[in-house]
Amino acid sequence: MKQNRNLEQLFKAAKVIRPDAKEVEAGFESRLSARLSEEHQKEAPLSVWTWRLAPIMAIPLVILIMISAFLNFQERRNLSSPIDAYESVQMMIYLEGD
Amino acid sequence: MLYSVKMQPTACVQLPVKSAATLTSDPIVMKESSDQSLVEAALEGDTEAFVRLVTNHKKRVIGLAGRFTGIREEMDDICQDVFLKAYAHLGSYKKNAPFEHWLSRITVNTCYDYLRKKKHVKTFTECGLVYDIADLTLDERSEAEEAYRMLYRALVKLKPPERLVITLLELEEKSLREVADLTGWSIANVKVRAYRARKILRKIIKDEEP
Repeated sequence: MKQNRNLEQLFKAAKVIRPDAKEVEAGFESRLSARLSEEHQKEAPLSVWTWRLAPIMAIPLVILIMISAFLNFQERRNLSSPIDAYESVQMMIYLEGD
Repeated sequence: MLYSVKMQPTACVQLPVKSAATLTSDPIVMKESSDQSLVEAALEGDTEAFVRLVTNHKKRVIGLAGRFTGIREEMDDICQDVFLKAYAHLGSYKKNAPFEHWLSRITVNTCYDYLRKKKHVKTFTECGLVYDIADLTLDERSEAEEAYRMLYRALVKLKPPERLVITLLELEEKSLREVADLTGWSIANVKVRAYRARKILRKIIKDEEP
């Protein structure tokens, strides 16, 4: 019972005391703002790296476009050959007057 | 992303139905509505509004952090963590409850995280002290300081949940319901932890006494 009272007395006495926090309060907002911008900067590398990686990602894209363009060109050439042959036959017929 | 403020549409603030005269004269309602408008402004990207919220609430947050550490750098770190979390999750704040309660929950959670990180530190660090009551005699002050040191030497030996509960109940004078709300534990759980904490504290104090 005496110990219980002692504990209550300790609580009662200790309740009125706090660590001196004047130094923490002073300039707290500035330190917090600095940390906020620091945290934002920590986020930045992801976006920075996205931009830095853009040219590297662009190289395979350019290669793909070039391959695709080349294949299209080849396909058109293959298609255009029979047409050209047909046209030349028509021209010969016309010129020879048949 | 942790530190990005999510923009939310402005929710309707539900204030108790009172006459205009009562609304303007009631300081609590005025403070709440002021907090609400600051939160809304902060959510729209007004950092000045957030700084004003910090200025309005920093004393309470620092005061609570001071119950768990006497080291200024740690106190500063805890409080900065509290406001960084508040900034990051401002979008999740429900405007029908006072901002102060929401911030208190973040503070308690951050202090609890701090206690869990520091659970192996069993020594009490001496620090500069201030008194909540100004008109104490010299004898009362020295007696209070002795009690404070004795209690904190014992408190550091408790497990984090027990220390948190006993600090909130006995030093911050919160009710069981308030502690349960702040910690997210049930009232029965808070009671059990408080009982255990008292039992251990009594034993530690008994062992320390000559």
